[in-house]
Parts: sequence; C-alpha cells; structure tokens
Amino acid sequence: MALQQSISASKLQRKVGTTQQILIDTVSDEGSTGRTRADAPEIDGVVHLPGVTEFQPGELVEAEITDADEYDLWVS
Amino acid sequence: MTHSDVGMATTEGGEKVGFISLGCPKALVDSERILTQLRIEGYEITPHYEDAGVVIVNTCGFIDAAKEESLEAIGEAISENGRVLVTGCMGRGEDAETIRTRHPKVLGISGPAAYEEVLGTVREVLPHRHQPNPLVDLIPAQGVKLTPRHYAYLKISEGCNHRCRFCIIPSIRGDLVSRPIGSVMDEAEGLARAGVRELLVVSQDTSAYGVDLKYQTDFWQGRPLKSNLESLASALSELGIWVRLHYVYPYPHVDALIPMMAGQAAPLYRHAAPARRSKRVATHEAARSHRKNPRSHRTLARSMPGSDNPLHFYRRLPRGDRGRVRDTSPIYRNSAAGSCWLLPILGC
Repeated sequence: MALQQSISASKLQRKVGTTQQILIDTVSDEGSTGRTRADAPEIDGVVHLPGVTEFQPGELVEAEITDADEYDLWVS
Repeated sequence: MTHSDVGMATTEGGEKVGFISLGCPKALVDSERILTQLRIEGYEITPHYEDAGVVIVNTCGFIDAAKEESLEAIGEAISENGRVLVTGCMGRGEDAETIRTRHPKVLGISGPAAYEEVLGTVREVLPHRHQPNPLVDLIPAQGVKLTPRHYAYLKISEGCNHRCRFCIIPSIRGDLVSRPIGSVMDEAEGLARAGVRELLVVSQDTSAYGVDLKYQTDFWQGRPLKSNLESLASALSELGIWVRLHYVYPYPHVDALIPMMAGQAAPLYRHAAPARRSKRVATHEAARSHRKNPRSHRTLARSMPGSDNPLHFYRRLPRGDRGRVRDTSPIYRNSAAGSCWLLPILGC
C-alpha cells in the first residue's frame, strides 16, 4: 500500500493548478466535498472544498485544484 | 390493529421491514430492487431493529472476510430482532449450509437476485395488513435507491462467462445474462429525468455486455440500437450526465471507447483477468496516445442511506457545456476486477 500511496500522491500532485469539474456530494456548515470525473464514489478519493457552502449535492461546479495529498484534492 | 381501507385517509403505516445490504454495487442494486418491491406492496422500511417485523440481510460471499462479516451481521440481527431472512451471494450451496449451522433461527435463506423468493417469504412471515394507497405510499418512479439522489447504479447484466480460477463469482451468479439495451436505456433515461447526475454502470463483466444476446438489436426512443458496449456508451452519452463504466475488461473492442473519452482522464487497469499482457499494454499505449491518466481501482462498495436533499441547480454548468475538447458528454471508464487481483496488493 505504501508504494501505491506514493504513486497516487504524485499523480494527484499533477492536478494541482488545473481546473476540474467537480460533482458536489456533501455540504455542511464547514464546507463541501465532491469528486472529479476520475473519482468513483466510495472507491476513489474526494475533493475537499472547505468553507464552500453555497452549493447543493448533485451540482456540477468548476474549480481550480490548490492542493493534494495521497488520495484527496483540495480547493481553497 | 385495524385493517386500513384504501379509500380512507389513514395514518396507519404498513408492516415494517429492516434491511442490511452488504457487498458490491451489483448486490446493492439487488437490495434496491427488493426494497422497491416491498414498498410497492405497502411495506415500510425502518432503520431500527426494534421496529422491524422482519430483518433481511443481503449477504456477500466473495472472500472469507466478507463471509465472516455477513455471518456477524446475521448474528447481530438475530440477537437484536430475532426474525431474520438471509439472501444474496452466501445464500446458496456450502455457504447456505454454514449459515444454517451457525444461525439455525434464520427464517429463510435464498440466493442472489432471488427477488420473488424473498418477497414470497416476507409475505409469509410478515403478512401485511396495510393496503397500498397510491395517494400516500409514494415511491419514486425510478424505484427505491440506496445512494444519494444525485448518483445511481445501473446494472446492465448478471453473471459471467469466464472461469478465472481465483474467482468464485460464476459459481454464485451464473453465466452472463445481459439486459436488452432498450430496457437499460429506458431506465437510464428515467434516472436522468429524476435528477441523477452520475450513472454508475455495473455488472460482473461490463465489456462482455450483449455477447449472450448476440448483440441483438433493441429499440430505445424508437431507434434501433445494438446491445453492445459501444452502442450503450454512445447512447448513455446523450443523456448529458456523467457516465462511469465499471468492470471494463480489456477486450479488443473496448478500444472503441477511447475516442469517446478523448480529452478526459481515462482510468486503466492491469490485472490477471482475461487478456494477455501484450493486449493490456497495447490498450495502455493507445490510451496514452490520447493523453490519459492510467489508474487502477478496487471495488468493494457498501450501501448508503439515501439523501433527502432536493436538487437545486442555481449555479450548475449548462448541460451542453462539457468543456473545450469534447463534443460528447463525458464517459469515464473505471474498471476493477471485482476485488480479486487488487486484494493482495492492498493488503486486505
């Protein structure tokens, strides 16, 4: 898993700075989560949008990816 | 308990059923189908053991860990409620015997996709006294879903014609039986109309779709379509929503999907499923030439409670706008050989 993790991390790093279409999955007072086109639900990673609260689950938005770790992406 | 009359406005509900859905997305679709039929017949679904007249457990028999989890779920349902029906992939053969031995109090055991059998047993052990009233017993047109409202699973076939030595699936689910494409597209269209924004196409072997039907022509919206993967992908792309194809094995004809995905991230796969190494590498190279990002996936999905959020699109991307490069709606291919080959690598 450690090898997969580092491969995943570098692939996701390449997405930082790109604009992605994101399908919003959950929205709370703290922010939203969603998935890009490459992310299957409950299988792949997610996109975190902290502080973003104006959307509803199921909305499609475009945003620039600002950060990434081994499995997830961030828009902040 | 009084017998409710269809003509009366009644607050009395129907008999309540509890449901535990384990296993993969294909099993989840089976759970959805059973729940939909239960709701049609006037049963209510409850998340509380103490309220349920019977609890159904849809089991997974894919690997030892899954079987153990299924047996524990059955045990918990028996101790918390006592009236338990077992169905699903452990409900046949040796696994069914294991269940009978370990949990003799189970009221009934049936195999996977045994919808009629489950319903029949529920009617026996929990006869419903509530007449379904279409005015109050609302069921969504697309059926009961176990996913949030914005995405849904679409099962296009059952079973698998391969006999991979490491895989138990064909002995549980049988040979490939594909749904005619008209039926699949009608369901997909209904889901899109109901507000689903992402379709997750699932089966045991999505690439093989239609081979048992000899790719027969079927009709959708009055148009003839062949029951094969390329036609299906093309037709689904007309719906204007995300389409994610799971369980796509690298058969040669699958290459035809790659141009449809031009410009997208296309997950790839390498595994010990049918295809010689040279073919897999060739597919990988073809995809690279379209600038894809290879990815490998593992599927082991669980059921999720439905979300009640209504869909309000106040800043949605217009349906026609899918970006600069492509002129068809996006189709993404995620593939996983169930969980088989990835399990040793992921340490599960």
